[in-house]
Amino acid sequence: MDANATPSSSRSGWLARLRSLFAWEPMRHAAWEMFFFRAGIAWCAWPPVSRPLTFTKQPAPHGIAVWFDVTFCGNPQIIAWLAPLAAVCLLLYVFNIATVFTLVLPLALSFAMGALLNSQGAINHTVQITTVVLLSQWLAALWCATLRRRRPLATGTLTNEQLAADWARQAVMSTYVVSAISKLIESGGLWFRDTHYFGLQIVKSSGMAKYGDTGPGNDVEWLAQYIINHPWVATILLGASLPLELFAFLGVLNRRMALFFGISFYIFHSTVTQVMHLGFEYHKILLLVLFVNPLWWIARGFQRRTINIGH
Amino acid sequence: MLATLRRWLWIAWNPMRVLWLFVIITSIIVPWLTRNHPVQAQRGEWYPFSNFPMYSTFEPTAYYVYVTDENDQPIQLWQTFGTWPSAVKKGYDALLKTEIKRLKKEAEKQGGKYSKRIVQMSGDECRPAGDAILRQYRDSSPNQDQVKKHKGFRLQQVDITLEDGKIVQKTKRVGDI
Repeated sequence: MDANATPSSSRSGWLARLRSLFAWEPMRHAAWEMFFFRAGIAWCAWPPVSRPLTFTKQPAPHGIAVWFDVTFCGNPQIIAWLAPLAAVCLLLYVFNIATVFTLVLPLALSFAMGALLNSQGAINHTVQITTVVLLSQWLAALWCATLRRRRPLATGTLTNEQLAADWARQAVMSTYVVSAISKLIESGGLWFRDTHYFGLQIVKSSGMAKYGDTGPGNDVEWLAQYIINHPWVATILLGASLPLELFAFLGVLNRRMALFFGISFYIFHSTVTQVMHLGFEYHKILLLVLFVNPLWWIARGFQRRTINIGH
Repeated sequence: MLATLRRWLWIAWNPMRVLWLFVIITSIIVPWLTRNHPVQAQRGEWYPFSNFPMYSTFEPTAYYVYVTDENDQPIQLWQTFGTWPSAVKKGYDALLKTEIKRLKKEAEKQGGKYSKRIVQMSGDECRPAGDAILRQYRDSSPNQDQVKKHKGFRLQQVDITLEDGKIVQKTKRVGDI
């Protein structure tokens, strides 16, 4: 410890560190980072639009299916034409070519596929995140091509590509904030009180996995009974997830916060996958690419090492 | 103090305007627009916007369903109906809640009250919903050759409850077509 350190100087140092943690530092990504971001988004957007759905009817119309017939998404002949076109469009998007136009088809197809999937009388959230992120990308492109173009950009402002990456992160984090708000509203603020009943949900998920086509899944019924017997375990484990979701908006402030929230949510989803047999593949990929961004941290580590060796 | 507050408010708003826009759409506008949707599970949902109601409350009971053939042997759901167990469960749940509403109205007409939980309902009370969901997936299945391999389908509901602190599972037949 510094012998000259006084309580007030250590306090101001602590405050400075805290301030730095929550400081807004617009993420000015390098071109190669943004290429990987777009590649990651396209990687997630492609599977849901690449093949026809198994449904040919929309018995409970949902989303745009209320206004349009989206059953073409279940027609193999039509998707055999549309999917390759969407692939070309996504490829052009990865290379940042005319995004405002090239994203129209993948986005429209993503909307239609999701609407048909959810028009079967049950709501499925598996691919929802990919459509939200695609929408954010198209809106960012539209914004940059229209309103943003009219006024000169101030020095230090994010470039159009950087802005698109920022909007993608904001779209992803908004879903977590909304989830936390729903928990607080639906439970009347008493979400923590009944968390030990989560054990029953584990049994339910385990049972559905057993009779699904993916195999019996992990045997976690012991965990369910343990949670019932030790309610505080569920309160602590689940309790940590609520503030994480509620304050997810902080994850867009700077790279350190993005890393923290990216890793935290990745661990959260991985745990849910093990216990509840829910995939969250697209969430995990997007968190890894847009928030954890390991390539940038590796590159930064190498850069620092080179500087230190140089000195 | 005021300056600090203004600074924090600026940070919470300015760099996150898109995030808050998405939050407002998904947690206020969509739920308001869909508030009268006849299917409860569709309220707050307008693809791709969702208020994510899953696990927002925890009940002391739960249940799941699975599909069997006429001999009560579980079938391969994806291969037969082209769907997942969770989709069948959610679809059945929506139909069951409509059936519960009907039972409540019927009881009111007769001066009574219907207040059973789903796990307390008898298999016969659940049958309209169970049969309807089986018919829906059987008739819309893209794998009709697989469907025709079976003489009939049954929907089995596994009720999960707590008895003296122990998790108990009981199966009942709620659909048979």
